[in-house]
Amino acid sequence: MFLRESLICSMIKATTFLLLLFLDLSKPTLANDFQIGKRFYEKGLLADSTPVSVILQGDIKANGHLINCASCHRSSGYGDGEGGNYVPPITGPVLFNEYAPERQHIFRNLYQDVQTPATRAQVHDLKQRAAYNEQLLNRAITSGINSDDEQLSLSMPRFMLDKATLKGLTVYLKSLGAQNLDSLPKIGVEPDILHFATIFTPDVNPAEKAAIMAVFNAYLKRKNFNTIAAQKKPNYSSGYKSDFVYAQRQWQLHEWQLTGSAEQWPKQLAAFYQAKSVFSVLGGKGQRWQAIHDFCEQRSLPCLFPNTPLPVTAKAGEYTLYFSKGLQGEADSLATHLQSLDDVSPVVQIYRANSVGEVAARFLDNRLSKKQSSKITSSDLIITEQQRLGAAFWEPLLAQKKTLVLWLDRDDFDTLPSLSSINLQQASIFVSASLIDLKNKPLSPQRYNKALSFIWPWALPNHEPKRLYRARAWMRSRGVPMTHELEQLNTFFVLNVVDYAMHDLLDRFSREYSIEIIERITENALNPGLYRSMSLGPKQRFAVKKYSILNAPLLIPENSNR
Amino acid sequence: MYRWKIVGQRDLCAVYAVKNSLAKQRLLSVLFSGLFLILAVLGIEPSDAVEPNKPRYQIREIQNTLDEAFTQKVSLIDANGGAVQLSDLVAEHRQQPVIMQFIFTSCANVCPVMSTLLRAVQKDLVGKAQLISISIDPEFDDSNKLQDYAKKFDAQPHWRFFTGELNDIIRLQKQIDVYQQNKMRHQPVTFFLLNQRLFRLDGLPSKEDTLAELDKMLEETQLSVSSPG
Ligand code: HEC
Repeated sequence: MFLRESLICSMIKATTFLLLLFLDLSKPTLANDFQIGKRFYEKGLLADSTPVSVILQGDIKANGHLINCASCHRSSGYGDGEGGNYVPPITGPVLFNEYAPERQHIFRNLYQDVQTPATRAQVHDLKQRAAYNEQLLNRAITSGINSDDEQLSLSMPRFMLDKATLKGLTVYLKSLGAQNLDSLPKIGVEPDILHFATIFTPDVNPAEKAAIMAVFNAYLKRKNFNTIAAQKKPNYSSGYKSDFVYAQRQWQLHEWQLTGSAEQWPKQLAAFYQAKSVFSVLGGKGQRWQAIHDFCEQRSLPCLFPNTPLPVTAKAGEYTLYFSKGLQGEADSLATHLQSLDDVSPVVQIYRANSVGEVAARFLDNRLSKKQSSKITSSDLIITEQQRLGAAFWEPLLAQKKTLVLWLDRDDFDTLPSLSSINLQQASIFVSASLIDLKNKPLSPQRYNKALSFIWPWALPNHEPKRLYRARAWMRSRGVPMTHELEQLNTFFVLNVVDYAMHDLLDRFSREYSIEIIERITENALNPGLYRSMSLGPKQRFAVKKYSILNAPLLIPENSNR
Repeated sequence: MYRWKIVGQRDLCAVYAVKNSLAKQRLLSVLFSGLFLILAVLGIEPSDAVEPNKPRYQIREIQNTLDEAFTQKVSLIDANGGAVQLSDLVAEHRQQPVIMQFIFTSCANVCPVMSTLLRAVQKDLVGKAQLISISIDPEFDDSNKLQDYAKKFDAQPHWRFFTGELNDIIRLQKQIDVYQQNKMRHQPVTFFLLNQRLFRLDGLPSKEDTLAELDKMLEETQLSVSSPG
């Protein structure tokens, strides 16, 4: 064994010059150390763009495509105190400073809900260690020895690093979590105030906006009141909670109302942000969200759960989280439903020119044409912006054996005549329940005809999770009039999620970390009750995945007299 | 001055490198790459010669859960979109050990390590065992996602991936006591089904340990590993 090892050592020396030559030809392709480090950390690629060689659990070979630093220590560098494996933080300030197991360090970890007894024990077990430097970091990564010459457990893999990558990694790790007091205001964190924004596009009507703002105002009032109370008597809670009262701040919400056409929004958003940068954007509403999505991605600004039918679905963002895929999700589930039927009469998609319905129609087209075996044909019926709908428009359509897909708003939908005499030889109709705002405005009972089916993104009526009743009670007790239940409960959800996230974050104001926490806590426990199930996961950006196609009679409100 | 108390032989090259790196940075960067290259050429990878001080896994037989868990209806969908019942799947492989893990494709910390273990042992188990990974996030993990995941981990045909109905999969996890309210608290567990007996391994073993444990289980259950037919 030893012989073979020393043989290897001498072979290394012997081939040094050859390698020198070879390496000089393959210069790093990336511009600077930071980028090399970031790519290595997140993608496991070395400076020369090849995947790093990794050993797990002592003898399992892998590579950087399968396992990289971000897998375990996460993009934020704050690690993972939740999973089956406690992973310590390796952000700059933690790693390159001495670590002493002070009360606060340990409590910070325990304060978060560390779940398993095993991880709890590991947190208590954290020992003092010296500060890392580049060489010690290298030793930890390649040979698994920490800065105090102690063996790291085998759940920290071993990586084979070259000098250029190591240098980049060091630079990159130093940048992680490196928010000092001077730079915090740049991300909306002031000594006493935590700034948030909410965004409305010009299409949102004043009543909707007022309904949403009423929830924000009621929540923040309560939240800020409690924070002041806690700060007045800092030893109010037993145990370690009061150690972190200092991290709490007053929450302030800025309302960013956009005006004009979407092309003008980026400039307006930049001006708002320039005037007051915020830690994240909460909720808000708008028909089209692309410009806002792009803005949030460019600024690394978390943009959490807006009310929009058109989330950006083509490529998931890093910083923008949505309730669902909106109309894209609706079109997908309708396509799946239609393709599961034996016999589908020709589809006619009905929408207004230049409306969001037009976008939905394209989504459905794409999905229907993607499946080669599908024999479903589809055509469009486009209503011009001025055209008014009435019986003359609908009656000929309803008389044919067609599959009508209505991507229309409520006003247009309400022009649909009574369907009471429609029979099986005639049209069957699919309607987007979200576009006609069915959650906020139920139809009159006789309108729920069986020729009509809804694409339904919410929990089944009368089968909503219990939290719905609690959320409604919360609104009532705060005197918030429930005029737009959907948007209001969604806003309540966002506030709950952010409240939990800030609670876990304590004084570690990293936007990336806040998103990682939200990815973890957005499970059913925080579901406001509107949705059948919600969940996220690392890099998942759409919390609600399943839609139902419901035949209208299933939706007749329970308390109505038929 | 560092104390190199528990460094294995193989790490001596690294020791040498670290000690001198201040003076000869450039040379040593090359040296390091050289080490990597040569080891790669020789088929040797960096590894840890030190025995871990703590046991990394526990293994135990689970009594009486097998029938309950695997005979009732759990509808699964494989990476090609094909539907199958878990009980059929298990019955199909009566003659061979089945190694089963729960994972989800967006999982960051534990699952990649678990799947990397199966990736490593699959080559030794061609014709000798079936490997199964079941998603605990079935609403996100559709067949396409499973296909991508399988490709990423170089899965061979005897390693199959399944998704299904959320409620079915939750029930199954509850029956074999691996269910966590939140999938992010997912624990590393590997199940071994042999000759109608179910073993549970908690933790993250090495490849060698895994194969050795499997051999022991085979002996105990008197299941032969020769390829059928
Ligand atoms: C499979 C999960 C995993 C991956 C991938 C991983 N780590 Fe770790 N890392 C851990 C665990 C677990 C520990 C704690 C080990 C211990 O305490 O014994 C750790 C510890 C460390 C430490 C020591 C921290 C301290 O306080 O002493 C450093 C430094 C580190 N990791 C850096 C990295 C870097 C850089 C990468 C990418 C090249 C990486 N890790 C990839 C799981 C991982």
